[in-house]
Amino acid sequence: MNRMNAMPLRQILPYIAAAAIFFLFAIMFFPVDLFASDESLESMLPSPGFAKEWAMDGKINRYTKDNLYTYIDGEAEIYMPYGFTVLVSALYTKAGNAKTALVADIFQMGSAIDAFGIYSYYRNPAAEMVNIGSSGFIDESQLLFYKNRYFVRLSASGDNPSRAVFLACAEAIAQRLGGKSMPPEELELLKIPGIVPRTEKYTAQSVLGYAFFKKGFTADATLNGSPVKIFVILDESVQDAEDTINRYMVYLKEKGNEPRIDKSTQGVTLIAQDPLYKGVLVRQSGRYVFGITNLKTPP
Amino acid sequence: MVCCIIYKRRSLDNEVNAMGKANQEKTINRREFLKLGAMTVATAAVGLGGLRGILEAKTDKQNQGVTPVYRTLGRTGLKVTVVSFGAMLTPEHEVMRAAFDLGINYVDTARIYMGGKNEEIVGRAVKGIRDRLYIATKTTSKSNSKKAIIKDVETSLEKLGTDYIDVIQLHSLTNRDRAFIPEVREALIELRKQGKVRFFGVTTHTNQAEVIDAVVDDKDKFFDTVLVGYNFKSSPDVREAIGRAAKAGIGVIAMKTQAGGYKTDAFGAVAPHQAALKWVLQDANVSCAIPGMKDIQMLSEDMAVMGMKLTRADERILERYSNAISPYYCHLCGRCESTCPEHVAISTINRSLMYAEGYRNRGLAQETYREVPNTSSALACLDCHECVARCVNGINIAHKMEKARRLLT
Repeated sequence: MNRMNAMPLRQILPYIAAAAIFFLFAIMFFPVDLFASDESLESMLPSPGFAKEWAMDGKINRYTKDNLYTYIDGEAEIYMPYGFTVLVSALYTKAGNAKTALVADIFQMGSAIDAFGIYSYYRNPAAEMVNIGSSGFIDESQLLFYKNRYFVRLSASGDNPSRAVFLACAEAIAQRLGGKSMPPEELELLKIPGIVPRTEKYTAQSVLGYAFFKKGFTADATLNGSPVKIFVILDESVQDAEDTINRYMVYLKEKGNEPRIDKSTQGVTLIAQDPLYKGVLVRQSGRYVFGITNLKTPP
Repeated sequence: MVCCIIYKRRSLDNEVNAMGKANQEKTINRREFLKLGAMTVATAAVGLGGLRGILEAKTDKQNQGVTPVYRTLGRTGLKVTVVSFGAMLTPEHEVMRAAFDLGINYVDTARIYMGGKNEEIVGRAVKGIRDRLYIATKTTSKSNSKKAIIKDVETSLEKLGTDYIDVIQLHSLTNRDRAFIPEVREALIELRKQGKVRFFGVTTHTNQAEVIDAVVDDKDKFFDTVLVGYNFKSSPDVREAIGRAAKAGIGVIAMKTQAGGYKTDAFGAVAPHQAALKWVLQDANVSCAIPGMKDIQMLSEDMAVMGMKLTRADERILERYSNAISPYYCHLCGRCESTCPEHVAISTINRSLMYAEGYRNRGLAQETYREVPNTSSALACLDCHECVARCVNGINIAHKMEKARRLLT
């Protein structure tokens, strides 16, 4: 009886060892993401402060799906398609200078690509980039970056704090968030010639303003010297992608724009006049629908 | 083993990326990406030969349909479309342009929307047609000095690519005080003399009736418009204040017309969007509504409301929707908590219930409920024979607390 009980233990020992090693690797590579819960998000905000004379003023405010609108009004709706769960927000003030303050907001989004998506919604391609988090940028009154599934927004309240203050606060938060500052791997898709740097966007709902383009990327590009827009719709399956391009075809026809359709083993290609985006070339291949808009003349 | 770990790390990577997401996406294969990227370029390079005709063709049949309906925006005298455009949620200027091509002639943005980008998007949308549109924007809510107001307006003009703003609004007033700051008024008057702004307005989300009344009672009649949250769930004091504003010649612009429409998802197929918009517009005291429109589908739905009457069927839809959300629809205003002698955290408990009943997320509900200290939990209600806490919106608090004890403790 004892022997029978002991056998299974011996059998599972290798698995336990493997699990332990895996666990250690996980801790090494994902110190925060594995274990950061909603409750611990507050600890990502530096307390009591992040630099000499700059201290947290008051308590940390916490917002969820239900009450985010109390903080940012209707803008809250923008965050929901990106899997928003929690925002923690703190005000930092400088000792002896009540007019200068900084608000630090950390938004926990659904995933890394969602964090990039909401970041890209606000990104100003012309702003100065800073090496904080993933693709941080700064202007006179704000600093924004994303890291893993977190979107971080620092903004002036009252007179603008100095650039050094923004950077110090951002670095303190980025360090606490842990992990690596890597863009979501899906962005590899847009590493193609002609893309205008820092114009890549991920949209979680109604790409290009069309509800049937559920989610995907867009980016500005240059083709033969002319500005165009590239887009890629990320569908869940080939069937979904076929449905998407079919709905687009129906829409074009409803608007009186009969597309030219080419079908091949690679998928379906449309050439058409889009009511909003002028000349378009759109292709469905596998579970993707992708294309170019704003074409005026063929290359 | 190493292979196993590497494999698991990759899996973990994907799990971490997707952590917390309700609908997890399939992992996207990197090779598939690169191949796709190459295909896009190849398509661009070779796929367009001989298609000049299609690409250069004009679209003849677009922009058909609804005839715009106009109302006068109070004493500004502007004739605005009853369904106007709230730009805050719209990332694509082409969608706005489509709305303008369909006849919508009033667009509302703000200095702070999208971190300052929204005005630029509006600017692109109005390019070339500025003279047939009215643009409303807002100073930032922290701008309470002459210098700050002037700076906001100058920045907005630059971002919008225009040399005048039709309606400049003080953003998000929560009481009457900000409507009467002398140097703010001085700045606005100066800007009007320079031809940079035409009319003045305020916006409010909190203490709306007080803010509206402040504008109405102002003996100087300084502000011409109020932008106010107004929908079928609004309290009578807001509706009455809107009536007084209209009577005083103030243009009333309605926002938040959907009463938190995103909550609809939790209640199935009840889709009250058009009915909710009609409900707002059937109030003749409202000059226009500015629903946010993210895409062409929303634009079509909202446009179609122009000229429609609120029907009995619409009222029924709104009743059903209202009934559906009422047990859950806590405005989280917290005003009830001051009426509870046991200081029960009613708002947080109601939020927990909303997670449980509305979102069907019991884990999140319990997690939220655990945030409440025991002394403020629904168990504290057991010390009272009768509940004296009152909700201004009519929620039965005793019933909700009893339900919380049953479901969450």
